[in-house]
Amino acid sequence: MRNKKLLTSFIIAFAGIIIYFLTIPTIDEEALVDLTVRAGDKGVLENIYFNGHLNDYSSFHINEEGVDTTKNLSYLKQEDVPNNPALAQLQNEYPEFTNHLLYSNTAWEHNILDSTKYLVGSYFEYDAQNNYFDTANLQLKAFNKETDTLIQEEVKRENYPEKGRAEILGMHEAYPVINILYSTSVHSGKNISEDSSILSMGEYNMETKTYSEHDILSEDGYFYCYTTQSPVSSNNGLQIIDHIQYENNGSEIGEQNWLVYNFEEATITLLDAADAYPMTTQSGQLFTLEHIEGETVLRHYNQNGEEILSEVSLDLQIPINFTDGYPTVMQIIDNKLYLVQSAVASYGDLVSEGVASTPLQVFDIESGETLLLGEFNFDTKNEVHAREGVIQGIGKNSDL
Amino acid sequence: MKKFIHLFDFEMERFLKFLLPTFVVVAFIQLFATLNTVHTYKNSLEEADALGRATDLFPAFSIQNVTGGGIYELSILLIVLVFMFYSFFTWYREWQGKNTFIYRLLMLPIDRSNILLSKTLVFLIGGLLAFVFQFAMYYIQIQITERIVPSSHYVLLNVHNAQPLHSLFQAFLYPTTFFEFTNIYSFAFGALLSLYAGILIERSYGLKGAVMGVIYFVAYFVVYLVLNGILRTDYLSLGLMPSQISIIILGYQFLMIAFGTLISIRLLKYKIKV
Repeated sequence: MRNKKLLTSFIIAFAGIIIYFLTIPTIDEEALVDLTVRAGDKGVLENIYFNGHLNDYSSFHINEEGVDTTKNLSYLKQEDVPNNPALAQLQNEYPEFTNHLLYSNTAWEHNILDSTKYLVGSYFEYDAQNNYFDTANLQLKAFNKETDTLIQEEVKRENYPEKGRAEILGMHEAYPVINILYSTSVHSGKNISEDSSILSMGEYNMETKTYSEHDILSEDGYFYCYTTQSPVSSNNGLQIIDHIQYENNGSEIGEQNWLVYNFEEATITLLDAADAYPMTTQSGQLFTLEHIEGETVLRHYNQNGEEILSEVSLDLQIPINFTDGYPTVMQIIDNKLYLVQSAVASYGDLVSEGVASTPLQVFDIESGETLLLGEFNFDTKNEVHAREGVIQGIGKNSDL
Repeated sequence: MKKFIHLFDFEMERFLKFLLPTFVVVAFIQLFATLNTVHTYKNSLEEADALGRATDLFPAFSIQNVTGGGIYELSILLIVLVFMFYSFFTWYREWQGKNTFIYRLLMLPIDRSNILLSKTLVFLIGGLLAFVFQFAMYYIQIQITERIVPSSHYVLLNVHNAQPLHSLFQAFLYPTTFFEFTNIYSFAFGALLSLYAGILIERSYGLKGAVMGVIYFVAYFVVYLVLNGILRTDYLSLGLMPSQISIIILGYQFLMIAFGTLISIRLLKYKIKV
């Protein structure tokens, strides 16, 4: 037979390539993340979603309908979709607004606020050639969800702290005004321990297109945005600020406090609970979680953070460590506290033992009693050879 | 068509004389590496057991213990090196070999573009053969390791996970989507056709052509890097989505494949010096 070698090579090459693509395993997504309820009422998981990351495979989203990973999308879609489900949902519904903030070369460190009527995005334009952020001008995008109209403004800031690096910590929308909370760090030029920061508040009126700004507070150290929620902020009227003073030229944290800014009342309060971990709810309630004398206590504060309205000791079944390992993810939804902390994989872990599970605890915030005890198990059939699974966010399906 | 098939078969046979011995050598190295890694692991396990140490704390074994080894990775590089060598050799031996074979090749009663086409397709088929060969080797090695390592310490991985997920070999040689496959292998194919064009420029214009040929070949990579940089830079406000950048890069590779082919055909037809 003539051309025998050519024909054989051709058949092996193309048959092999077809076999290769046909045998690429179809991943059973349900085996990647499995939420098992050990005790309690499964009903508390209704309308609740969890999202996280399966190292080194993909991010995932799990709710009562099942598990979704970004890997089930086409390659090109995988490249574009954000890891966070709240951002992914926003991209799906408002692609033009979201993609500009996510993929513009100049819109670094953007903030997104999702209020009932408006979707607000803000950032300082980054100039890569001169390596600086144009903090003299605020870039503001406000998309009216009812009329599908976009207000896009470059707002010239007046009377703002000009020295130092400015960041946007939070926003609030109360039509026609958009409030923007800034932190500007002023470098001493010597060492980080001597730096100070200024909190300032900007107000932009969408009708009159006027802008004003004033200082709120000046302190030694740095102000950081603190949130246990998704990168898309809700318009709940509160912003928790992490105030840190460094020591020994930044190698140690000296003093750390929580500040609460109430946008509606324009008040800033030092939360009298430095060792606690604060959180806000979608409806604008303020809570802290704290270990006190061997107990884990959930405190409900008033909206200024000045007064404790109630406190309850949680019937904690699995200890939570606020300072080590993956951050504790806590969320209060419909008077229930959802609490998870994922385990960090250690190098020596036996692969055959699988990925460490993440316990889930749900409590009634009024009585402190456990409503549900469960655990997330990851890559149970060793489908993707994952090293660890991490829960990064909790939310309500209807909020997506 | 019949004449082209004969030429194609002739070129394939010449390439297989290089490729098949390479596969034999690579298979030998990889099987040696597999057996060596497995036995080293098994001996350590038995030693720990004999000394009364807790073997259940011993890290588990998978095919990735084998494929992540230095000798194993070098054996894959050997295939790549043979392809790189042959891409030069396939042209220069026509001029430098016995009886200057290029005379006979150019005098064949067929369109000269068929010479380029046969040499290019041979690489395509050869590349796919190498791809399939290595994939089959993974399968064989999984079977071997599974049989030797005690099941209590063995993690059976899918053949598609034979290389660690983030290793360069997994990312570049064994992509899991058709887009990635097209993207990676069209880059290599574009490089091959730029090299062919460079060689034919050199053959057409002598010493001056050698400089031009090198510049043309290097330019393929430089433009690729510059284009990547421009598309992803923060200096320009292009605001492109990551998928749009991937499509543009793929477009560039296809453009260079077409451009390299056109230049080579034109030179073969009208300019080539023998």
